[in-house]
Order: sequence, then structure tokens, then C-alpha cells
Amino acid sequence: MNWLRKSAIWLDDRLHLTALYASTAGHEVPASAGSWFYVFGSATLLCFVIQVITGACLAFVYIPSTNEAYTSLEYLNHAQFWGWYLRAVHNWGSNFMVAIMTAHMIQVFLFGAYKYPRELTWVSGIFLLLCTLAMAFTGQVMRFDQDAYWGLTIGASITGRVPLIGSQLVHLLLAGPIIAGETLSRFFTLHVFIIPGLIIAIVSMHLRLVLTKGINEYPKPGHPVHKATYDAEYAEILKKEGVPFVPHAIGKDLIFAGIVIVGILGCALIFGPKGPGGPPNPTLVDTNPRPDFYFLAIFAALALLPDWMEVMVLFIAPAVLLIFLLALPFISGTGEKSARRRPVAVLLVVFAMLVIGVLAYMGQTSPWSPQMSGWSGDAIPVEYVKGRTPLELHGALVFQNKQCRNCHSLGGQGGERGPALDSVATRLTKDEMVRQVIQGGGNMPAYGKKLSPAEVDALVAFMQTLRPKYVPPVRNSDKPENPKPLPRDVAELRSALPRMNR
Amino acid sequence: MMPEHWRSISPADKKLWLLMGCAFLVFAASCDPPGKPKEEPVSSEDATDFQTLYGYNCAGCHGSDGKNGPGRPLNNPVYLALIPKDVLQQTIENGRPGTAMPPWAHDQGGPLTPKQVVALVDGIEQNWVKPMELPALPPYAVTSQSGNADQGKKLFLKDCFMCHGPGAPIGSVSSPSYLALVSDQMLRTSIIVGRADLGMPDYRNLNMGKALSDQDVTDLVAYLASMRPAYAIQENAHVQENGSGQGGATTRGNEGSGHGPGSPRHEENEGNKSTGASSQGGPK
Repeated sequence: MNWLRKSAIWLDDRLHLTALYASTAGHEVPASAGSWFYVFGSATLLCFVIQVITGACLAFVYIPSTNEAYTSLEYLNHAQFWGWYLRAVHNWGSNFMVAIMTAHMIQVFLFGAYKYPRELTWVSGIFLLLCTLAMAFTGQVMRFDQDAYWGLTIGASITGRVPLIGSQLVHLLLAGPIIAGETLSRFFTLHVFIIPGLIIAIVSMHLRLVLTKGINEYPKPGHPVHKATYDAEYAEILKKEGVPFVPHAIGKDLIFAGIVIVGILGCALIFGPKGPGGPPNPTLVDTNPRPDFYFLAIFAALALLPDWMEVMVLFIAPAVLLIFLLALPFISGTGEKSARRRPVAVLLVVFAMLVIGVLAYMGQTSPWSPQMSGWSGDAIPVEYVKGRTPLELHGALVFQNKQCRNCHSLGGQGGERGPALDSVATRLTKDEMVRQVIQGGGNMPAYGKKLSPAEVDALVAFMQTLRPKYVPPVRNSDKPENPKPLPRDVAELRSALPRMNR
Repeated sequence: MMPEHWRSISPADKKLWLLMGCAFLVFAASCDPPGKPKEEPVSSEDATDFQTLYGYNCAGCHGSDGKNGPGRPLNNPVYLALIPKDVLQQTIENGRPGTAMPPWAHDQGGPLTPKQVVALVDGIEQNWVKPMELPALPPYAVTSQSGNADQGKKLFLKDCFMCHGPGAPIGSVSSPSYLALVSDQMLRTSIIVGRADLGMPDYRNLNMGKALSDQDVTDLVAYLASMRPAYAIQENAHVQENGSGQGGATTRGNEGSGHGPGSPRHEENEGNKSTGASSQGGPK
């Protein structure tokens, strides 16, 4: 055994493995940092490692050419032994990575870990956030299906609106004026070489900063950070309750890593890979492209944007947001760390999560998209058919045939782009209906040229019946229900009531 | 480390447990995990299942189970006895120019392949009520004899007026707009078949409890057609040229704005009160 020991000492002397271990895994962390809240950073890194491994395996099969990308994914899905599972793990790995990274960021923000002296850890983290989102976007393009095509189209048209250099930027992004073979090669290079390389480099810096500046102690209310005293305080904490990261603090990270791995593998097994959803052919109009979940909120925001807010939301808001995130540790680099004493920070997180959550929900349901099969597939509710006249029934046919149903729902079925028409007769008079149908307006196209007068007549007759039972349709205020005009003054009233007062 | 209770199990039981465990593993390995992509996703052009096709393409107008829709109820024994199968197929393929029925066949600009049209026709035969055996059923199409509008008017006043006269509860069929929107064949089929789902009897009971003959139906249609306004006849000619329906799909946002409802060809439309707003329809 002596020779084994000797060779180990020789190797350590050359490679300095013991010193490396002592300065990394063995470095001292505050015992309070061994908390369940501190597991997200390592879990994000784990996801990245899974992505690198599965991505490398996928690259063995994937062909980054417009002709073959789609086919090679179909091959993985159906022909390659468990190839679909590889795709599924890569897909779910990315979903988990974005989700856990977000949790990590929120935790760091709420625990004040970005404050002095860890400003650059936060800044490098922001760059990692950008890189991860760039990976997500370029990865979506790799699928090269309809979602990818339209996602890329939207990205390019946003880029094209950059003032002065817009068209040059689009050219740079797409490797040409339009989406073509070179576009896919470019995004493949970004997704496989450039951005992962950047991530590895920035992660190295991020980790080194964690080692040199130490892990943030679990914040206590009433212990604000002062630049003058913090370093000494942290040294004191380490001295009093410092424990080596391995084995004392790593336990929860390992357990959480296990949960994440089981989660990714399980989701991949149960839900499978995403797409590819239809070839990227811009001539197919019967498509409903939708980005992956991390971009659903942006998708919804872009869809719901009024014209006048476009420049603000497309360019100014992201710039302001990025500058805010980068400047955050320099704006509030000192002071309270505990979330219990930082109500604005907590509200900010709640607000941001609500906005993103609601927008993502809207992106998933996309009520602004017409439902293209509504007119032929959604039956008119039976109660709107019973007891209607032949003309009104024919109006219902016009309603379906002219695809009103694709945007207007009846009985909860149909599109949600326009208002539901279940009680339209209590809102619009007959004349107003005619005008709206013929001229459109308020986001509705004009149907004047698409409908004959008889069809308008039938359609409006049908819509006049759309109201709750026993509620009369609205009428013009200048056409009183009672044909006799009301008396205008007392004298007239007297004469109208002849015998009573006399 | 073996749990205590494992040791207490007899060897025979252990074998049984192991066997069951192996059986479960084999079972689990033999079935596909739920996430595995299906072989080939059925594209909309490959579907030939009747319920899918009908639910996606027809239910909007004809009702979710072939009745109680605003359009012709197809799930009706008298109707299925009346209409020849080839006419049914042609109707799906080419639509009915001049009515709300658009063409569905691929070569007519519709979404259905020839296979799917046949699947619909066969599906109606197989899934729904069987055609009724009716001895005195008038033929589907108008035969050579011409209708007598005066005779039809007498019949109308006797048999139809109660429900369909002007101001009657079920609603007038003589309104110009209605007559402009329906073809003679549609009127004929409606009279013969009735609307069992909405309470209108079929031809067997319409003649004061007795059956209407072929000639009666033809006369009634002739009478109704005689009330059709002049503009509607022109309009049908226009519709027949271009094929009907599905125009809405290509409607663009700005189309029609800047025009009142009465584009020039409708100027003579006096009977149509609801488009009285046309004079207001100036450019936006």
C-alpha cells in the first residue's frame, strides 16, 4: 500500500488537489447559510450540467439545416431508441432551469445577498439570466417548427424597429434579410458554442465571487449592512459559527438536487418532449404559434399592447429594467437585508410575479386570437334556436357562416376576441347593430361588403333575440315605448287629466 | 439491512412477492410511458372519424347531434328518406349556391378531402336514425310539372297561415329578407320535412292533418317564390356566379368601410327596413 500512498502524494504535489478541495468544497460558510432557501443556485447549475450533457447527446443526431432539422427531430421522436426521452429531458431541463433560476434570483433579492460586498456576484448573475434566456430563445429556434418560425419572425420584426441600425441588426440576427438556411446555422452556433461558452465563463466568475466574498449569512432583522463594519462582522460570524461547506452545508443542496433530477426525469417521462409542431411553413395559416412558457408573458404583452405603447414597451421598458437590475446593488448596496424590514422589496417581487403570472396565463389561453373553427364546430345553443322565426334562424346561419362566431362567443363557446353576444340585445338597439355589422369599428372589421341587405336583416333579427327571457331589447330613447308623448308642463298635465281636479 | 418484517415472511411468500414484482416490472416496461410521442399525429386532412369530422365542420349550423341547430336538421328520418345519397354528397361537396351552405370539397375551396366527404355521408347513414319508409313521399327535386302560385296561395292560407302568416307567432315566411336568403329547393325540402325538433310537422300532417301531395308542395313553393323581391333574384344570380359562403374568412379589416350597406346594386331595396341606416354609413 505504500506505493499507492506515495503516488497519491506525488499527484497531489503536482496538481494541488488538497489545496483546491480545501479552498472550494472545504471553504467555511456561516452555519445559518445551510438553509433550504440556499439550494436554488446549486440546483440551477445542476440543470445547466444536465442541459450540457443531454444537449451534447442531441447534437449527435440533430442536423442544423432547414431541410433536415425537422426530420432529424422526427427521427429522434419516433425512430431512435428512447430518442424522444432525450429530447424530453432537454426540454424539461430547460423549463426547470429557468424556473429554478428565477427562484434563485428572488431569494437573493429578498435576502439582500446582492448588497455590499457581493455587488459583482449579482451583476454576473444578471448576465447569466440574460444568457439563460438567450439559450431558451435559441433553443426554441432549434426545434425549427411553426412556433420557432413565428417566434423568430416576431424577434426579427422587433429588432427591425431599432432606430437607425434596425435593418442591419436584423441582417445580423437572421444572417440575411429573411429566415433561411443560414439563420438556423447561426442560431445553432449561438445555442451550442457561443452562449454555453459564455455561461461557463460567467458561472466560473460567479462561483469564484461566491468563494472569495463568502455566502451571505441568513439575514436577521435589525442588522443593517455598513460598508465600514460588514467585513469584520462577517469574519466574526465565520469565526463563531463557520462550518466547511462539505459536508455540513451541502446536505440540503444534495437532497434538492435529487428532487430536481427526479422532477426533470419524471416530467420528461410523463409529459414528453415538446413538438416539433408542424413544419415551419409560413404559407400554413391554420396555425396557432405560441412560445415556450418562459416567453408567454412577453408574448401576451406584445399581443395586448396598444399602438402608442409599442416603442415604450419594446425598447424603453427592457432597457430601464436591465439598467435597474444592474444598478440595484449600487443603489441599495447597504442597509437592511432581511425581507421583514424591506416591504418595498417584497411588494416589488409580488407585483412582478403577479404581472408575469397573469400575462403568462393570458399568453397560454390567448383570448385575443380568433377561434378559427368556431363557426363550423360550435353549435348555436339550443335555447337560441327554439322558438325563433324562420328569418331569425337564417340569421343564426349567417352568424355562423360569416364566421362571427370565431370572435364572438355564444353560450360560452366561440372566440373571445370580441364581446360575448349572449345578451347583446340588451346593449345595442337594432339600428346600432346594423351599423356595427356594416361599418365595424372598435377592432371589428366592417362586414358591409360581405353581407347582402337580406343577410344583415336576418342577422340583426337573430341578434335581437339574444337577451335573457323577459328582458325587452333596448330601444332608442327618442322612440318611447308608449307612443303617447309625456306631458311637457303642468298645464298640459291638467288638460290630460280632465276630470280629476275639477 | 433487511427490514424486520421481511425476515418474518415465509420463503414461499417471498417467492410470490418477487414474482409479482417481476410481473409488474415486465408490465411497466411493456407499456409506453405517457410522454412518448404518438406515432403520427392525425392531421386535419387524415381524420375520417365521423364524430370528429361532423363536430368540427358541421355542428355549428346543423346542431351538435344533427338537430336543434339553425340549419337543416340532418338527423331526421323523413329528411334522410327524402334526400338521395348522391345529392347529399354533392351538397357537401359543392354547397348550395344561394343559401348559407358553403362548399366543403377541396376542389371547391373547402377543407375536406373526397375521402372525408364520403366518410360524412356514410357516417350519417350509419350513426343516425334510419330513413323512414314513406309511401307517398313527394320526390326530392321539383319534377317537370310547374307550380301554380294561385293554388299555392289558397293552400298557404289554409294550411300555413296559422303559424307563418304575417305577425303569426312562429314567424312570417313571406318576409322579403327571408325569401331572398332561401332557394326554392330549400323551401320545398322544408315543407316536406318540417322541423320535428322545433315543432313543425312534416308533409304528412300539414294539409289540415292530411298529407300534402307533390303538386301541393310545388304550388306552395311557387306561391312563396312569387313573393320573392326582385332584388333577391338578381342577388341569387350574383351568388351563384361566385359560389357562396365562407367569404367571411377573407374579410380584411378595412374592407367595406367607407361604404354604406347599400352598395349600388342594392339601391332598389325598399322592403328591407333594417338597412335604413345605410344613409348614415359614410366614411369613417
